[in-house]
Amino acid sequence: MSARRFAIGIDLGTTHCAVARIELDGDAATSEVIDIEQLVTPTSLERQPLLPSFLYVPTDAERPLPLPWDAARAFAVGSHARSRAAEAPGRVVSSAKSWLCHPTADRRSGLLPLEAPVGLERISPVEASWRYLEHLSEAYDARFGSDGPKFAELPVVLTVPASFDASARELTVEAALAAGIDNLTLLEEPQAALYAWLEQVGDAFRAELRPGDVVLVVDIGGGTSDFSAIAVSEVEGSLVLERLAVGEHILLGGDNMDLALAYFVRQRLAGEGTELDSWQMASLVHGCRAAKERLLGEANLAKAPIVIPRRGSKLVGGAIRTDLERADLGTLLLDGFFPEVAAEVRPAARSRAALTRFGLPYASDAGITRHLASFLARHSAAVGGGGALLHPTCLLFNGGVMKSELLRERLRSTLDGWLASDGAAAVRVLGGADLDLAVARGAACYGRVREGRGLRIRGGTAQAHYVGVEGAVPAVPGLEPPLTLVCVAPFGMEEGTSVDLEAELAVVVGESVRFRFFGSSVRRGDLVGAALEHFAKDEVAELPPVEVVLPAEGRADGEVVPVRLRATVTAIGTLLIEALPLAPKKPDEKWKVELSVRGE
Amino acid sequence: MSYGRGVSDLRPGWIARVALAFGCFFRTLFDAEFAARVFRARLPAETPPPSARALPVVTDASPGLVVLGLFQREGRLVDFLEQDITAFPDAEVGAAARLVHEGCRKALRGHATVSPVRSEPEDSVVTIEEGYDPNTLKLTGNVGSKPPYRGTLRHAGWRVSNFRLPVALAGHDATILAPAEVEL
Repeated sequence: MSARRFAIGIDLGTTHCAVARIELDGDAATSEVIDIEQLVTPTSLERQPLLPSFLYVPTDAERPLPLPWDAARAFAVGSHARSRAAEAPGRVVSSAKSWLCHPTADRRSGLLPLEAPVGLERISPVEASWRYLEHLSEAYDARFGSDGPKFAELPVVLTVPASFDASARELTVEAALAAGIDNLTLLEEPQAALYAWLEQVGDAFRAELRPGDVVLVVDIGGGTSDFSAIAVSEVEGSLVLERLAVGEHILLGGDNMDLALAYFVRQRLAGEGTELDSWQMASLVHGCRAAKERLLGEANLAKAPIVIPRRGSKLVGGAIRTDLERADLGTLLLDGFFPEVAAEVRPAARSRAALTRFGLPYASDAGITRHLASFLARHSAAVGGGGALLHPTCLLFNGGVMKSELLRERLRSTLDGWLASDGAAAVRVLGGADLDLAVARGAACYGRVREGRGLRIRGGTAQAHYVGVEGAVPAVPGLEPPLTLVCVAPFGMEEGTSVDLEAELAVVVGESVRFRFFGSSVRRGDLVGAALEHFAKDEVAELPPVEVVLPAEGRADGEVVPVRLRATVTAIGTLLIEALPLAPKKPDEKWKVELSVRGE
Repeated sequence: MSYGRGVSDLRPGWIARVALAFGCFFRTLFDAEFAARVFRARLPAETPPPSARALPVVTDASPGLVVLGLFQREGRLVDFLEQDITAFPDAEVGAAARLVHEGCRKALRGHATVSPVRSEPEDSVVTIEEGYDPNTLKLTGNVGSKPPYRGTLRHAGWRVSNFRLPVALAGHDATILAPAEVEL
């Protein structure tokens, strides 16, 4: 009998990672979530289904933090690292994934922990992601490596938010390569959620999905909210799934909700004369999360108790006791994060103060429904029909926050209200998936789909990409020269395809030349070479600049060389842009245009 | 109904002790020697496969202490038991009990599956046939000479399955139930 072959799916989340695998051969195979061995204290290990995405840097005395496969490990990831986050925040890296798509930070340089004490070496967001992936790979090998293929030999599907831009995707791949994962494909998380749903319902999906359906995937995790629309059509008798649109990157998730509750309770306690220190605050956040989950789980409960204990070894006496009322949950959570707004309402954009503290660009509007309304309106043209909104017919939830029936119901009823006023029918909810683990499972299933087993979601790249070319006009102080955007990679490019931009760009030999780089998730009609002189500000977003360095290769330093740009969507699922000199000095001469350079 | 396989699994006694530990904590948990022997017998299933760089996984950490440390870490159980609570009003004790309950429950459910031994509702009338297993059933009251017995189910019992302890690594000192904390 030949060796069993598996595909691996990895959900590399902002707050948690999960791994699943699926057998590649055989007609019937089910994805299996792999429990991950990790430190729960400095000296004890447990297997848990989720690996918290935290990295702890110990003091010299605490070193090493050994693992069964590495006695000398100088850091810890997972459960122990997470528990240190509240105790010693300056030594714990968290939310590395949100930093991966930071528009201005140098994501390859040591940034994290942001509040590291003097003398502690910081690591880059890329390295943090690499360490999580490395741990997943090592834990898998420690368990299965002796009687099956090693992790590095297996095809791996790694998920990213649909809203990740080209450079964040590339950095994710860089982290995976550093972790020894070469056989790699990227998959958007909402698509993974749909693959998991397809696995769950099996053949019955034909009864639930019909040609003409548009599935809206609402994925709300610990740190981010992600929307995608996937259309169902029929081509020559078989169903075809096509990803139509993806939402903006919104740094807003379950953690914000717990914090909002905790700040509210802290303020109320302060009004009663009780001030909390930072340790008690961490304990309050924990208490609020537990109280929230109870209230969301038990509809008849009027309030849930919160106890903030004393810190010393004397537990009884002096504890701060309070309650989270259902009414407060309604105001803060339902009306704060899922307000029942009209479809025309848009998220508030906060104008940033001139001096903002260096940090993550959190969403300035917490109203997830407002972000959703904006998404549906921006993509109203994606299927036609002429309404003011894109009209989904089915709704698939994903992410831990959506485990709450109350929140799912609020979101569904708000959406149905918009659809009714826009002349469309209500949505059907596609149920049944495990919201914490669906992405990892779906990613594994995609590994099978890539081998031709099962329905594949098409769609190609979710953004059109442009380089900015400044017009040659006389300099006027205080006036920016007009900028023209030239499309280098159109919307919806499929894996493995390339396009060449005929227009020439001039590059100076031996110097790094930067271009401003832009993306649009709504301009689906622009062909390669299309030049935009006038465009709406909210249609196009500026990405970190791209950079090309031409080595001299027989040319004089300082010489100006005309080049063409070629855009390719790689087999991994990343965007590759190359500069091809018009007069090559050797056959097939080209240089890679670096997408993920540091912003200014 | 038959309890055959489950009972032969349970007979070594340690697993049943976890459930019992809630009721009579010190008596059961400090019988370290016997518990350690059971732990060693169960260990191969829990140990990662050996590799060239493998660490020695500590096997002599008393499982009783590991459990006690776990309940302290998650639910501050030792803090609660070690404090003299006589003088405190019930509301204060109740507030603390909520914390202990939440944390220890999470620890228990995270490491074992606990289910009733008898599936009938408590206070219902049950019949006990000949050949019942005295490890799973305790008869009280007017216990006659021969089965079948008819009686009222007063306590449905607890059975633990799928029990897994954290694996202690080299350097693990199970006698430290909680490290001292110093804030800088």
